[in-house]
Amino acid sequence: MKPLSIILNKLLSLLPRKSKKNNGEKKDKKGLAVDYRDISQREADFKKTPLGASLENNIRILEELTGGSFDLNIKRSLSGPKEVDSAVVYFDGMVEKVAVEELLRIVKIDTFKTGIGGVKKNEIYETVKRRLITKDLKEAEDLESLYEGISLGDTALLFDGTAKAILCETKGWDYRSIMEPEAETTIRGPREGFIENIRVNTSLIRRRIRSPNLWIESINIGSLSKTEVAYAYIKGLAGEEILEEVRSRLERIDIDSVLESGVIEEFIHDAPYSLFPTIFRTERPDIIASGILEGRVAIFTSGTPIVLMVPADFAMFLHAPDDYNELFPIGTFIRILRLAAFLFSIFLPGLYVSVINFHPELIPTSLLLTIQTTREGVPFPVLGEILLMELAFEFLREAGLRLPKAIGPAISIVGALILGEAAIRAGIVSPGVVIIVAFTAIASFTAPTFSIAISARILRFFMIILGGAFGLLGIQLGFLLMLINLVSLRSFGYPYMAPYGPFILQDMKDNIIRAPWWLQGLRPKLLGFREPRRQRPSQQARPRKSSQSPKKGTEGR
Amino acid sequence: MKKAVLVILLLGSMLLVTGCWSWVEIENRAIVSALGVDKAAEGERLEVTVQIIKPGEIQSGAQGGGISPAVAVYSDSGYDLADALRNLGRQVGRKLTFSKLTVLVIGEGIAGEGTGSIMDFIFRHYEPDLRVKVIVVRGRAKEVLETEIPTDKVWGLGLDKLVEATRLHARAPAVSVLDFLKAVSSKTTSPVATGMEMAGEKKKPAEEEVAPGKKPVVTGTAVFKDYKLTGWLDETETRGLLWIKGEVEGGVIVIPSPGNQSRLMALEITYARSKIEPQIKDGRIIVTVKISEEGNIGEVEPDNVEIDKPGTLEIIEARKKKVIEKEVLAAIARAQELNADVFGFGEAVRRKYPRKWPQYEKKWEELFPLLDIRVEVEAKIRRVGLIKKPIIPGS
Repeated sequence: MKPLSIILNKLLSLLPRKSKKNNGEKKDKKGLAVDYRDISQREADFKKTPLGASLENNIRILEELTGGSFDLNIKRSLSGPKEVDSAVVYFDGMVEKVAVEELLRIVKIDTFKTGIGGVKKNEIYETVKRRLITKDLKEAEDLESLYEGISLGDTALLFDGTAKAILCETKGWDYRSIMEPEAETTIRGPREGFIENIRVNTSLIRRRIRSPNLWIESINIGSLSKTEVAYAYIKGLAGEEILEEVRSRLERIDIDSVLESGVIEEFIHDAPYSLFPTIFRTERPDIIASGILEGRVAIFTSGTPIVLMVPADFAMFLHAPDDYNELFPIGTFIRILRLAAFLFSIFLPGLYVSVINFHPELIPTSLLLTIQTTREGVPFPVLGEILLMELAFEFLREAGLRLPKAIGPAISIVGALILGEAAIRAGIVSPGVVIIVAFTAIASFTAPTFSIAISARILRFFMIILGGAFGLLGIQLGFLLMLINLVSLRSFGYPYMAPYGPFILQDMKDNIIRAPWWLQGLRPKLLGFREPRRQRPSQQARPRKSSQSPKKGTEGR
Repeated sequence: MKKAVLVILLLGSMLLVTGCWSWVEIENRAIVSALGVDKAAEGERLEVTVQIIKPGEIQSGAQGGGISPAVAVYSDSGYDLADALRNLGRQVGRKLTFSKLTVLVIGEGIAGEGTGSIMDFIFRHYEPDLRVKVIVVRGRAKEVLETEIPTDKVWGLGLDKLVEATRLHARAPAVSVLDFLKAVSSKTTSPVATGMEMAGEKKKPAEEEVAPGKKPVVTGTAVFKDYKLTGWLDETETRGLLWIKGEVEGGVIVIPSPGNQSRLMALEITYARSKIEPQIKDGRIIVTVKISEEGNIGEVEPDNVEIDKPGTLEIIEARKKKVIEKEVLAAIARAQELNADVFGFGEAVRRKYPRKWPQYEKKWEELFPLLDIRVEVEAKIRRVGLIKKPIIPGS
């Protein structure tokens, strides 16, 4: 029986540890009881604790539960003529100093001066509350909501004899100022970018869409981090089904912390195994605003400048704000250019390998001869060469990202010029391959969103291997597989390849071509179906009717 | 989950175990730019000559300036083309690649015996383009392929340009393997091919630098019956053939000047179309060839031609018409003599009278030499340019 009990013990040790009973024998340095409760239990205990009438007791519990953290400020004083015990509680660094001082003045001095302390001891709470003229007032009846308040920068006022706390909004922590997002720059367009502060971020949208129907709802996600996540949409335009889906997917998330919106993105992603992103993300408020105006839902996460948007479609990832801001022929041109570059960045190296090895007849004779000459004496097969150079390029790119900004250009010179040149000189790779890899790299940088560029990067390697194994047939196979994946994707119920599959003619005005604004009379069919009409049709500028036009002969004088 | 892993493994093994069928590294290919076929000396049926591009030479020449040949020529013989090419593998270490083949040069000897297997090889092989040009040389193909074309590093490409340039001047037809096979597949039409001959003196060692020696010249047309060479058309007859087929795209017509009869005047051809209109009347076939031509004045000997004078243009047009008629009739006469329907008259009749055609088809051999062919030519001068009178000394 002995072995069995050993095994049982081992198994038991694998189970989550329950906190041990240890009733206040040991004391730590601060004189508080050492407790062995685990985090989930602590959180549960915290939730259960209501505020009591005794201030002394409340403060003690609060200190005990927060471990007397050094940034927690508890200012005790006596208020009012009756000298009621009072406390002002806030976290250092999260509050606006001036506002807190104002509160302290009220609690400590004004209550004496004006005699608002009231007659009875427990009246002071109500009177102070009525007198307060700060931005926002809330009440907390238990420890949890009190803590939630102060952890967001509120200041809590507690008075002896009242089992409630006043929460005054005194938020005022430091954050980065609004800057142009480095990853998404435009030539023509606003220079604002989101920052880490969610309130500032939502305000950037509110400034752009001043309709009362811009609704922003918020929930907290993360059992420990309690990260604020807000989703903004236009009520009455965004589909209720989509909203319901967003809401339920966000509420389903059970995680301890959300430090970046990428966490949320993966939790609510429709096709987690696909290489293509079905959730749009950006740092630019103008893109988010235009998406919301089409009936999409933006998801803001506190602590990150990256804002998510759903539902997303494939075409979105290849559109840039410049397309809309420049004149439409130029916008259309850059769009076609970008689409071509995107396809190049996926297929070019694979095509090169397959054509060189399997279908030399597709290359013009003189080019073929040049390639043949330069390949002379290169030790690796074309497939090996391409993989080698692509790998080298990926290293360079990654290195360039991680390096301090000052060293970045140096690396690109060493990498691109010296390495490439030396490799050709040494006869390790042929110039053709370097040209192909360089061209592909340039093409891949035209993608306006990083998320689509990164999937192209991975697909490129698949295509190289397929092209090397099966020639053009392999490339075709790869293309078909990619297409099958693309058309089967859905983003929050919205077909990813719309308006191509399903084909929607009216949405073609803003896809490969960018029609002039005065022709964009209708919202995207599957998003803005609740109110398709966006603007009055045919508003292009025309000469006035002949009755109003100046008479002939007087022109040009 | 297991299933998914299995599927991924299977797909992955597909990439690894196929052995990369038909994978050839590009530097291991020998790119053939021209292919020559001759009758072999004895025993074996034919001798094949290939012109292979030497890639190294292409670039070194480009840097150094000046044109140095970048080809290597190999020959070997065998029972047929495929066999001979395999035999050639004993000399050439790389895989012969016909993807960039531009010209197929056939020696007169083998052309007379029949080119069926050669054409079939090109047609059947997956690499060569069917636009490969067919040239029949009066002599040996090997000689043509071994001769340097000074203007081009890759001599095969030079031959191709030669044919193309001659075609534009309507001195010879440009015929691809596809055209040839199309003609063969018709029951009555005779295929043709570009004619070529070696002209000039043999290279003398002393003048090697100055005179290029013997060089290939495109001239006339080789006429086939099915796959066999039966005769030749000279340059006049060739242009007659091209007039009828509507393949004249340019060139010059020389006529006696309307002013001084002993002087000549050259007219440029800018436009030519033809129409073959067959007719069956009382069981007899009459073919009317309608040719319309337009042109400019290209060159005038300074002798008082007053182009702006009323009537002058009419005279020029009439003379031009006469020249064209003469060329066309010469071609018809020669074709009838060879009993080779190089014009596709039979096809024209079949297209117009598909029901009645079968009864004529069998007798076409007898019908064609005596066919009633009428020629109608319309020749026009469209533009005379700004220079009305040539500059005459002393005027």
